[in-house]
Amino acid sequence: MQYKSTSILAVFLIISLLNTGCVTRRMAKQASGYELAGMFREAAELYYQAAMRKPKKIDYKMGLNRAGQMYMEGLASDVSRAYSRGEYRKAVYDYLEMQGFADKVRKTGVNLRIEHSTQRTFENAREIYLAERYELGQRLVGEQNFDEARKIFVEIYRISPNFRDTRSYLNTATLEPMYQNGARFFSHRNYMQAYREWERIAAKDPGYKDVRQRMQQALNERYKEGAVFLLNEDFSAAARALGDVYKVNPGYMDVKSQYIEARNEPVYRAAIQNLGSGRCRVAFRGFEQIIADAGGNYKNALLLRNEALGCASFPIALLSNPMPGNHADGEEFENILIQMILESKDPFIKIHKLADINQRILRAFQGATGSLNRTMLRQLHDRNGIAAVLVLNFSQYQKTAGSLQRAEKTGFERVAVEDQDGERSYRDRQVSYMEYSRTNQVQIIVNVQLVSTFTGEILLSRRYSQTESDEMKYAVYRGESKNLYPATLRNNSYHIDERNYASLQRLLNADQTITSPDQLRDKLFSELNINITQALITFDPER
Amino acid sequence: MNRALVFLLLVAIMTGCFSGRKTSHERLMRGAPDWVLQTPNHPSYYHGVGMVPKNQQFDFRERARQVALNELAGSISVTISSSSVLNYFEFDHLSSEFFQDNIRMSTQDYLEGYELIGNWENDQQYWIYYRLSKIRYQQIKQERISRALTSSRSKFDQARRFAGQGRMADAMGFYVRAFEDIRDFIGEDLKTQVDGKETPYATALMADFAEQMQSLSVVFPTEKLLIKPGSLLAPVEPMVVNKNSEPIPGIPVSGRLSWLPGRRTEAVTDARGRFRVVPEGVKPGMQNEQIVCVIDMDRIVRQNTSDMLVQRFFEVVRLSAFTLPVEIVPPVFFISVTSSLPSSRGNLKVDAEFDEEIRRILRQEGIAISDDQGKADYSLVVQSNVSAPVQHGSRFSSSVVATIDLLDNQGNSIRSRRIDDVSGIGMGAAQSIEDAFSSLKNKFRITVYPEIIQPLF
Repeated sequence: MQYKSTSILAVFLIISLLNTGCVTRRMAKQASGYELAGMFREAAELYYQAAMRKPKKIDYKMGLNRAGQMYMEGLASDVSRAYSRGEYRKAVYDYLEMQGFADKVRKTGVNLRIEHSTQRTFENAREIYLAERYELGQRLVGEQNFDEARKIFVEIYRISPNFRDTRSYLNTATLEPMYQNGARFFSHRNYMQAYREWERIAAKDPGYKDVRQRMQQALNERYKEGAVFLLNEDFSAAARALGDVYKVNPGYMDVKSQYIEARNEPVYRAAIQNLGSGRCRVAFRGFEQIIADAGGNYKNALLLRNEALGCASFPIALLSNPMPGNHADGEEFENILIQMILESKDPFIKIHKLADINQRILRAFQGATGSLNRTMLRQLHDRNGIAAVLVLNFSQYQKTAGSLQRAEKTGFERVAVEDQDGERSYRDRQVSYMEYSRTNQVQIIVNVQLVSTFTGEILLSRRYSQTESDEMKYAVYRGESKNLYPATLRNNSYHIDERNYASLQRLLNADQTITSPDQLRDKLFSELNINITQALITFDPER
Repeated sequence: MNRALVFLLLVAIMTGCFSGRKTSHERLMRGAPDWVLQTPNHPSYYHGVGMVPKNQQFDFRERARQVALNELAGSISVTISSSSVLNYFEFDHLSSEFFQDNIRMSTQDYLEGYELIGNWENDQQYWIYYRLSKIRYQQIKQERISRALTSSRSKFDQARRFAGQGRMADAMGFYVRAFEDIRDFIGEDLKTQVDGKETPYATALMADFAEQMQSLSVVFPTEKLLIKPGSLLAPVEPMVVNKNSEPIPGIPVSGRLSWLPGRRTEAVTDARGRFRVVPEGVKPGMQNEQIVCVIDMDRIVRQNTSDMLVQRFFEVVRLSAFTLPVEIVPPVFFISVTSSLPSSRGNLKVDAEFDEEIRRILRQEGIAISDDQGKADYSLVVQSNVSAPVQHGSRFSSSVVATIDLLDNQGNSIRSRRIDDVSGIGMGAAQSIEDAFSSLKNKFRITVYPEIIQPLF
């Protein structure tokens, strides 16, 4: 197989090599035909292509030299004729074509001659043609028709870059429209656009007129606009204007501090107002924003942030009533909840165990039905600075470790048999196998209440009911499991059940492990406590 | 099967590659006459043999004829006589080559008297042979020269008569056409009687033409032109005169303004020998300018002949340029800057500083300033109102509204511009006002000056 593909590849390579050589030869033959017919341009072009393909073939280079020189002579005569007729443009461009062809052909190592007389004719034609174009360009610049002037000076530049003051005129024709555009933008108070126009000029020619000075003036005007907006407390307009200047030159005068002020002052003012009106959380976030943006030095934002944080802090005492039938799991629930609240890093919530604060109140509250004692609540508020009590009541809790269920089942083991003629048939043998199952489950119903210590008001109330369970089921067969089929009982007799073969195979290969009740509990507690923590964090007592 | 296919493909490619067939030169030229096998060289004749391949060109007979005649013409040597007009005037190398090429081309164009000796063809080529007797060629050429001289001479005489009558425009036309008649023989020694003397004719013709042309001059009405930019400009009326200071009508002239490069005024002198040049586009600040007028000889020649050779030949005649110096008188401005400042800030010198800045900008642009309004061409009246500075904490802001009026010397308003809400800021009230005026100065320079003062000029 490999030998065959190598042969095909080799044949293709031979064909393509022969074909390349053949194409080149055909080209050269065609070139020779053109040459014979006096069509030197076509001949030279084909010889050139052939010489490029086969650089070592001397005949092609000779042909190129011969036909190319004839073609050049034809062009030289065109140059001369055009010059005689006063068609100086044609003379110039014919010569340039000639020069271009000679340059192209040089790559093959063939040097085509351009007669001195032709070169002199070109130089004269060029002088006359460019002088005419130059005059026209000058006139157009005078008339402020910069687009047309630019085209003319670009043409002159391409033909003779050092022709008189072409560079200077080209510069003027290119830059002056931008310069004037900048002035128009400036006049319409569009200072940044003016700046950008002049900046484009400065990038090309930094010494162009007073363009650098103008850039500074445009920037200064925009800066002043921003500063006046700021003084007039139009902070968003000020931030836009000062931001424009800052982005261009961050070191411009005091633009950095002004820009910071424009961005942060409205936030600062709102935060102070919020702090004054007891909306300490919002105030805190405002001050945080300012500190993130401007660092800790913006006015007294750092101090006020701390003040807002103190005011916004929300100490909670956790009262977890005993869990029915499982005191240890109740403590676990409480511990997980505390851990989650701490991990949330909420700046405002401070969590305490009621047991650590006041054992007497704890005892009074534990198992209490109806509302908590107001006096005691007030005591927690006044003496311990607790804002609210988080009460957990477990109305139901059940953790069940299921027992292993066994069932003996009847099935068939199928065996393939080959007779003397090599014919294959099956023999089904009735067998017994075991099926096992177990279910573990944890079930909980918990009521959560957040009660204000100051007013006794229930601030938040949630009921969570959740069950977590796991079940395992598998089959065990001592024989060849993959040949085992289930059986169905019909008319007191067992028959092989081919349809449910796959289901039985799944049972035979099923996982025989089960999540333990404690693992189910941990999962359940975690999920529940995420929800409770989330409810606490999103609860805003200032709302 | 596959192998057979590949073999066939290779054979096909090879056949394509090596299908060229070589034909021997001997077989091709079998039966060719002597003039095909060897170029004829009989000294009494000019010869021309042309060959063109037949396969690619359907008009190969005509092409071969052209090739043969070109060869015949090419064998006729072009000699430039030492006493010809070509040697009398000094031409650069390129022009000399140009004239010689033209003489050679005219030899081809007027080829007469040649005879067809024979033609011959094979499968691939067509050959043809012409020849021309050298004696016959000389006869024909002499006849042509004689005819050309007769025709030219009568025009030359007419040109001189017109010149004598002061009808220079007509005279020039005849000079040009007289030269056109002999344009094919400028390499020959064309001797003829002029003013009773045997003279090289073409040289005499050109010398006469040059003398007549150089006798003309452009005279300006004044020695110097004073122009004030922005003022109503009267056209300048120079006059073309001859050596006797007589005005010459009908002469093409052109004028250039040194301050407007690329612009050219073309005109023809009127019956009083005058023409007009409008000295437009003068800007303040220009110095040492001039109006340059020339008698437009190119146009004179072009109007009378379309022959490039003749046009190029007449370029040898150089004419002077006539210059009128132009002095730019700066326009005079009177400047008045007043501001209504808040009463507590009356001692600020912002007016004076703004006034000084305007003066600086105008002077920089070449405008003179006068403190006497009566002597000024224009008045620039700037009135600004400064609002009371407002304190914002430790900073102050103020704003200025300015009205700028441009008046002519009769007190009529020409242009007006209002600049609103120029803001200033500073750590003090005075500083904020000064800052606003600083912006005002920039706006004046960047927008007001180009918008209301520059368009005056």
